[in-house]
Amino acid sequence: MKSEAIVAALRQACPGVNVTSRSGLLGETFVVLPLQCLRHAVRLLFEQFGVRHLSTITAQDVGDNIELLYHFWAGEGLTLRTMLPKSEAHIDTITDLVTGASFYEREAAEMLGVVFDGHPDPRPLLLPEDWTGGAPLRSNETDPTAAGPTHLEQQAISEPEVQVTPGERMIIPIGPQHPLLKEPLSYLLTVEGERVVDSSLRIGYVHRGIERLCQQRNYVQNTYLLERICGICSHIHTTTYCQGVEALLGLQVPPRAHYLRALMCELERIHSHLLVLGVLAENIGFTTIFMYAWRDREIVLDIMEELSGGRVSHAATVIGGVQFDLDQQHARSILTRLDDFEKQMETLRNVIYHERSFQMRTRDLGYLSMEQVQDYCVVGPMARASGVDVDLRRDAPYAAYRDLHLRVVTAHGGDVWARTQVRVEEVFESLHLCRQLVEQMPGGAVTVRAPRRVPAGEVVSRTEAPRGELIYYIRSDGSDKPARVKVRTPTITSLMSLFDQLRDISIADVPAVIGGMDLCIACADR
Amino acid sequence: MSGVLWALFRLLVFPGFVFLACCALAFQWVDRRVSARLQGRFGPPWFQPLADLIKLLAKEDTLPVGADELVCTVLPIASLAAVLSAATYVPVAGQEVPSFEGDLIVVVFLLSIPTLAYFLAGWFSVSIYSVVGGNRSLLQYFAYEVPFLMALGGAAVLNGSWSIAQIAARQSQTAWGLLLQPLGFLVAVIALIGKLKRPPFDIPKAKTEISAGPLTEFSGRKLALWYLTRDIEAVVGAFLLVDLFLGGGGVALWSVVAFGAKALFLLLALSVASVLYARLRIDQLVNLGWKVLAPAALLQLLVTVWMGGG
Repeated sequence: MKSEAIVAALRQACPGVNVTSRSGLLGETFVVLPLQCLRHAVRLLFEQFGVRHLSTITAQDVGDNIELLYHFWAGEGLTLRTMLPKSEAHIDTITDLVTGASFYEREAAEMLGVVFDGHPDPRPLLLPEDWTGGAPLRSNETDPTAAGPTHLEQQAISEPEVQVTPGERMIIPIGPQHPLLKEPLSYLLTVEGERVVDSSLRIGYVHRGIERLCQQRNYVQNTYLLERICGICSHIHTTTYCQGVEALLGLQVPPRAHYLRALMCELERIHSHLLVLGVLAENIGFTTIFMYAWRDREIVLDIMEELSGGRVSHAATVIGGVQFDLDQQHARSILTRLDDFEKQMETLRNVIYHERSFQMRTRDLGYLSMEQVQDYCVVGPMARASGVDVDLRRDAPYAAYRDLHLRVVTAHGGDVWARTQVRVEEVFESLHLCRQLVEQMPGGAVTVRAPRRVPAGEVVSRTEAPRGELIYYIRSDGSDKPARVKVRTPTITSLMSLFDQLRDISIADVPAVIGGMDLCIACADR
Repeated sequence: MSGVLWALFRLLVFPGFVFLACCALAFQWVDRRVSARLQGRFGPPWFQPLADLIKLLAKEDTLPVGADELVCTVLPIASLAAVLSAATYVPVAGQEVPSFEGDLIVVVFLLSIPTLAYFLAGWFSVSIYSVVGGNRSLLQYFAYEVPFLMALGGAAVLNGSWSIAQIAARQSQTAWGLLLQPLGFLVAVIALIGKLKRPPFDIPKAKTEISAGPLTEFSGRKLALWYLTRDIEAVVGAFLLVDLFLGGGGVALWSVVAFGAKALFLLLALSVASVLYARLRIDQLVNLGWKVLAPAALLQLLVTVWMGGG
């Protein structure tokens, strides 16, 4: 096991201190490190083992201390944990070692009041600039919603000064309301003529405090709350969460439920990829492809609605199984319609691959090298388009993926065009998986009874959402409500790389880059 | 007295403002309907363009603080006036028009006024999107105007006259310009798309990049005038190319129908082109204009001169 070798090396590298490790649920290894050892350990992971994918940092309040968990992915889950006293919650940043830690540290800083010494950009990530409610996830603080942002009524959040000084530098605001992106993300582009020279990002416009809300609801209610993080990949959220809770409960989910979950996951991936294909086409002014992609996407949405009863929020996965079943006749009808869909999709692929103007607008744009992708810990199709061969459906099979034959699609261009290719090919791969799932589906029950109280423990649950690795950390204190639920969605990783992608391109290319990234701000803000 | 009335009728009703406005609205409907059908949508009912126009005319007309009220009012009126003036020299179905040697140049100049107005609208309506869009429309002007002028000049050289009515008449004696100058015709159509700022050359008003470009801050009546100008310009541009390359038309009933059919064919070509491609970037359009269109138009001109046209 790789983690055992890593733990041994850590023990050797930090002599005289107590490094303990234990293997947790769902194959995650937890390593406890003293505070002063952490930076050293992170460096060692990278230099000696090539492990540099930091999935996220979970910060949580454990009585007198704040606990930080650094979730790494080393081909298997590896979590480094360390404690800091609440009274003196200081820790050195690791952004100089892992650039992708930046947003996670900012979030931990605002949510739990941890100070990351040496962080290059310590602004709040999700909370308003004039937030006065204290650290929302510290348990001994007063209810933060009661305090609220007091100054907001008197003064608007620092609106950018709109300057029109011809011929000089201008600042072009994109968002939070803008035709380019229908999602509330604010981007200030500093341009000289048509060239972008600088940019600054602000998210948090749809921050709903879901992580805190989770601590106030019981496990069953949270299934429905977490589904509402995203309006596109809602099913993967419930699946990831339920998979974690089931692991905590030690519950064996019937195999048929695993297959039905995976079937929904793949349908969801198809419609998510088609959605972003349409958005990209619309952004580069190719309305026809947008219309075709969204028209064909309806076939898949109809199937999902028939299966679960919902078009957007499916409530398909429940703790212990799924809430829907599939009969023979319906399965046949689905397969027929997927065949029709595949024909339409082949036409669409033909147009995209052979229409020169589409490639003129997407090639050599938003380039991220494999090095940059690993540095920012970018996941999913974005990473695969830069040649990083990673897919949790294959690397850490969940649901029914262990039984399936899966081809991981990668490309090497690293630009918007390569990302489009990866997504288009993944749609075909997902169709292939859907057929396997329907044909090999075992019989039997689709759900088992789950107790309401969850035994104390913690779990890290990872899945491959349409946009890439989705990770949940769930800690239970033995009651019917979780003590901490941490969600890291794939979009956050892409956002960190946005600055590099936008530098020195034309304003006209900004929509293409953003369209090619498949951002979901609702996911990022939670 | 009756001469004055007749002139007013010609200016205001046929083939003047009312006729052109009707053509423009009809074209807008055909355009929306055709592109909708090509994209797997349904498109609006026939009266939608008129309803949109009336709705816009009735809407509140606002401008941001700091925008130049006078300039912003004059610009849409001036561009509509320029396009309508251009139309008076473009014979519709063989109608008599006040023509003179060189009116082709005047028409091309008048038709470029909306583009310049776009640029000024960008400066004077104090919005960043407008400024960027205004700059783009000027850049685009330099990309399409030279090939456009060269292609039209080719038709003039071929037919030995710089008067549109003359060129149209000459073709009925020889052959359509399209047959003798296929390359020039193609360049003229592509440059016309650039002139009209239609997709895939809708760069100055690319909505996903810069909202509506120079029109971002316009509303109500001013916006209605801009839209009307846009559609009338498309119709006049199509009439112009029919006169120069597709043999114009006579006064007989069948040739009036033929003229309409030719113009419709051109406009349909514009609609189809608008759904087939992704929007180009401004530098890609400038490249296209100077590296492909201008040399092609020049080649056509040389061939015409060498063949001893005119």
